[in-house]
Amino acid sequence: MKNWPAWVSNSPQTEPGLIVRTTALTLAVGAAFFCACDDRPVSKGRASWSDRTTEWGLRFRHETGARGRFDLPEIMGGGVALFDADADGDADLYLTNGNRDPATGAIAPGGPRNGFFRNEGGRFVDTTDESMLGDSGYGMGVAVGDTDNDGDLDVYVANLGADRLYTNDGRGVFTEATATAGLGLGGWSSSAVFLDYDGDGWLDLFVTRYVTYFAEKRCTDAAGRDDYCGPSVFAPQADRLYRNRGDGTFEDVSESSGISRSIGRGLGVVAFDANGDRRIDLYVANDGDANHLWTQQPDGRFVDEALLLGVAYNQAGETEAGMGVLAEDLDGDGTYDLFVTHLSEESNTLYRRAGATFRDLSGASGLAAESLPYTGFGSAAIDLDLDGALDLIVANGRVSGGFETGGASPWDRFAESNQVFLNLGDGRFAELPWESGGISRGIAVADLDGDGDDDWVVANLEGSPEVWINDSEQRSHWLAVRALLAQPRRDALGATAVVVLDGQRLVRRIDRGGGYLSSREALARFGLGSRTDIGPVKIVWPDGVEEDFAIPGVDRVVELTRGEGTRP
Amino acid sequence: MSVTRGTFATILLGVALHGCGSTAPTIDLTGMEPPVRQLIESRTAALNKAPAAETWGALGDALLAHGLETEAADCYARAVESASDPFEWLYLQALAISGGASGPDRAIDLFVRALDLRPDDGLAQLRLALSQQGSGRHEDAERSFERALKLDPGLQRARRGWGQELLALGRYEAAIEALDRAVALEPRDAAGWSALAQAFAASGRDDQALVAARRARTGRELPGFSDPIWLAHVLQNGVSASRRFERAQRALGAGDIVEARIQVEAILDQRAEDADAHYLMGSIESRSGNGAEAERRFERALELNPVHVRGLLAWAALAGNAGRLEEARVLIERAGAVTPRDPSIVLALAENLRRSGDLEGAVEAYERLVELEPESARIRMNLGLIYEQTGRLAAAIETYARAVDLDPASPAAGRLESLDR
Repeated sequence: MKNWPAWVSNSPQTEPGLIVRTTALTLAVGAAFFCACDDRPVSKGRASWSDRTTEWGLRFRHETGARGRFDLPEIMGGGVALFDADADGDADLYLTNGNRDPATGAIAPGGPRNGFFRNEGGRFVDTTDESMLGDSGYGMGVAVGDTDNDGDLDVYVANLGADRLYTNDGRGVFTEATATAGLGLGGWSSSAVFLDYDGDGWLDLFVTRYVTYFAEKRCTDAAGRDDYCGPSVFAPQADRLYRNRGDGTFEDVSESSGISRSIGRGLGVVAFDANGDRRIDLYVANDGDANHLWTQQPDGRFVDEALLLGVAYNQAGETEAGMGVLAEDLDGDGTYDLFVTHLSEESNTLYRRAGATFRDLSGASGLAAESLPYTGFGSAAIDLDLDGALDLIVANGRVSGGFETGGASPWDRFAESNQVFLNLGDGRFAELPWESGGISRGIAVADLDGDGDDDWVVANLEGSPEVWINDSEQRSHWLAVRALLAQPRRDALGATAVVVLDGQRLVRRIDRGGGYLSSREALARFGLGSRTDIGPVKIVWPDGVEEDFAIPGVDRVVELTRGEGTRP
Repeated sequence: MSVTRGTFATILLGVALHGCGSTAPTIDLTGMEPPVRQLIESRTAALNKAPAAETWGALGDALLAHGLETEAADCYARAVESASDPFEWLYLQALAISGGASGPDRAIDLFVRALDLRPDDGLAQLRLALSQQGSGRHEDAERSFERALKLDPGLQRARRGWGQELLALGRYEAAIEALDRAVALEPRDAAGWSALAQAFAASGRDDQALVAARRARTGRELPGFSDPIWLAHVLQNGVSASRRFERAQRALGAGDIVEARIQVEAILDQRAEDADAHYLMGSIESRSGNGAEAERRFERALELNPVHVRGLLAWAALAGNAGRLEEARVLIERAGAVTPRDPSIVLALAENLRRSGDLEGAVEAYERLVELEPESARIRMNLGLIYEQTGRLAAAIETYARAVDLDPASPAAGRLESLDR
C-alpha cells in the first residue's frame, strides 16, 4: 500500500534478556487482636500473622520505570499468583513487574521482568530463568489455568503492551505460546481469569481492559504540581472473551458473545454464578464507570445485568472507582456476595446477595467507614481463625496527590496501611491492627506452610513483595477441598464446595481468580471450629450437577473427583 | 515542566516553609507555580507580622484555593479560636477537612457548630448533608438534605442528594420522585441519572432503569454549586495556570469562546513560552474563524514543542480544510509517530486519505480504527461508506449492520435499507 506510515500497523515487540533485581526489605510483625464494636467488646480468641519474607528467602523488587513523568501505568501494577507449577504439592509464586517504559510498555533489553519462585519446603527459590517465565512486558495481571488439558497449570500474563500465554511442561518449565494460541492482545490489559463458560471442558479466557492510554496527556494538582491523571481522562475499553477451541488456539468471541457491547475501565474480574441459574457469569469492577455483571444466557451470549441486579452502582446510585473484586459468601448465608475495593473517599463496597438481587450493605457490615481514608486494590477472603466465617484482607496504596513528605523516597507518600477485617459472624466486620503496607496492589492466597490455614503474599508497587504467614494459635479444625474433573483431570474451576456445619451451609468457590491482577490457589478451605463430624462434602459441579462425598476425617486436604461421589 | 523523582527530595529541602497550627505543618512548595508559591509566602509573612483570625484565615484561604486542604484546615482552626464570629472559619475549616484522610466525621462536627451559629443557612445545611452522606450516615443525611431544601428549594445538589439518601434507605418511590425532580432541574447530571436508574431497578421498573442508565452514560459530572463563602474566600486567591487550562478547555468544549480566551490570555501573561497555551489559543482563533492567526499559534506551539500531538492535529485539520491535503498528511504522520495508538490520529489519517482519493489506504486506516474503537458506530458507518464506494457491498452491509447494532439511531440504518432495496 502506498504512503502507509509504519505506525498504523501493529508491530511485534522483541524480548530482552537481562534482569536487574535488588534486595527485599523485610519486617516481621506479630499481632494479637481484640476488637470493640458498638462499645461492646468482642473477643475472637487469638490470631496472629507475621511477615516471613526474609525467612522464605524472597528477593524481588517491583520496578515501575518511573521517570518523573507521572505515567498512569506506573501506579497500577503489579499482580501475584500462587499455584503449584511443578506439581510437587505446594504453591509456587509468580510476580509481575513493570519495565523501563511506563508510557507504552515497550520492552527494552536488560529491564525488569516478572519473577518466578519455586516453593522448596519453606523457601522461595528464584527459578525465573529455569522456568522461562521472566516476561519482560509491562506487567499488570496474571491468570492461571490448565489451558491445554494436559494436567498442569499454564500462565497468562496481562500487560501494558502485548499479553503473553505460557504453557507448562508439567515440571514448571514454560514455553511461550502466545502467537500459536492467537492471543497477544496489545493495549492495556489488567486482570484476567480462566473459566469454562461454554462447558466444553476447555478453559476459556476473560481479560479486563482498562483505558486507551496516551503518554502525552499530563495532569497536575490544584497548585500546578505534576500528578497522575485520573482514568476518566482516557477512553474506556471493551473487555475481551476468548473461547478455547481445544486445539491450542483461542477465538476472540467478544463481539459474538455480547461482551463488547458495553465498555468500561475494567480492573477486577471474578467468574461465578451470580444469578443462580447454574451458568457462569462475570462481574467486572470498573474504575469510575458502572460495573458490569455479564450474566450468561442459555444461548451462551452475555447480557450486562449489573443495574438490574443492584451491583452497577453503590447504594446511593453512584459510580465508584472499582479496583479489585471478590465473590465469596461473606455473610454465611450459603450464597455468594461481592466485595469491591475503591479509591479513598469512597468506601469499599459489600454487595450482599438478597434474594434474586444484591444490596449494598457496606455501612451495616462495618466495612465502609474504615475504608474511606484508603485506596483499596487487592483483597482476599480467608478464614484467619478457622471459625467458619470468611475474614477479609485488603491491600491499599494511593494513586495520586500524596504530597506530604518526610519519607526517604518520593514513593513513601503513596504508601498506606493494609487492612484486616475480622468477620464477627453476624454480618459485621471489625478491623484488626496490621502493621504493614507499602504501595500494595495484588494479593494471592495459599497455604504456604501446610498447616491448614491460608497464608498470603502481597505485591507492592516499586517495592518488595511480602510473605505473610498465618500463625494463629489454631485450636480449630479445618478441611481443604480440591475438586477435580475426571477427564481431563484438572481443577473444576467454577464449582462450589459445600459443608454443613451446625446447620449452617458453608460454601466456597473452586476458582483461582478474583482480587486485583492476581490468582490464588484453587482449593476450597473450610474452618470448622471445634467440629470434626461434618458429614459429607457436597460439590456442585460447574454444570449444576451435585455429588456428595464422604470425608475420611478433617484437618487434611481431600481430593474429590467428579463421578466418584454419590448423587443426592 | 516536570520535576523528576530523582531531584524531588533536594528541591523539597530547599523550599520547606512552616505553615499553620500548633504543630506547624511543613508546606511543600516543590513544583508549585511561582504565583502560587509567592501567594503562600506573602500570606505567611502577613501572618507572622500580625497573627489574628483574619491573617490565619487568609493563609488558609490561599492554601485551600490551591489544594493544600490539610494545612488550610489547621489555619482555619486557629482563625476559629481567635474570631469573634467564627461561622465562616468553621465552615471553611469543615470544607477543608471534609475530603481529607480524617474523613467527613470531623467535618460534620464543624458544620453542626456552624449551624448552631446560623441555623437558617441553607448552604451550611447542604454541606452538612454532603458530609453525612460521605460518612454513610444515611438517615442523618436524608434529614439534612430535606432541611436544606426547605431553606432553599432550588438547590439541585440537595435535591439529588436527598434522592440518593432515600434510595440508600430503600424508600424507592420517594427516591424516584426526588431524583426525577433533580434531573429535571439539571438534565446533564450523570450522578442524578445513575441514582434514578438504580431506584427504578430496585423498584422493578427495568425499562425505565435502562433508559435512565443510558442518560447517566451520556451525562457528565457537574461542577460544584454556587457558594458565596467559597467565592469570597477561596476563589479570590487566584487560579493556577493548571486550573486555568482546565477551565479554558471546559469553556471551549461548551462553546464559551469569550471565557476560554480570558483564561488562555491569563496563562500566556504568566507563561509566554507555553506550547499548550499557544495551542489552546490557536483552537480559540480557529473556532472564531481566524484561520491565519490560528495557524500562527499552532506553528508557535510546535516551535516550542515539536511533538505537540494536539497542535499537529489541529494544524492538520486547518490545512486539510483549506485543501492542503498533502501538507495535512505530513502533520498527521508526525503526530502518529508520537502516539501511534491514538484513535483520533488514525481517524484523521483515514479521512485525509479518503479525501485525497486513496480509498484503499482509507479502508486500511478505518479497519485499524475499528480495532482501536470497536464500539464506535460512527467509525463503522464511515468504513461502510468507503466499502460501498469501492464496490464491496457484502462488507458494507455487514459493517452497517454492526453500526446499527451498536447504535440503533445510526444513519447506517438508512444505508442498510437502501442497499436492501
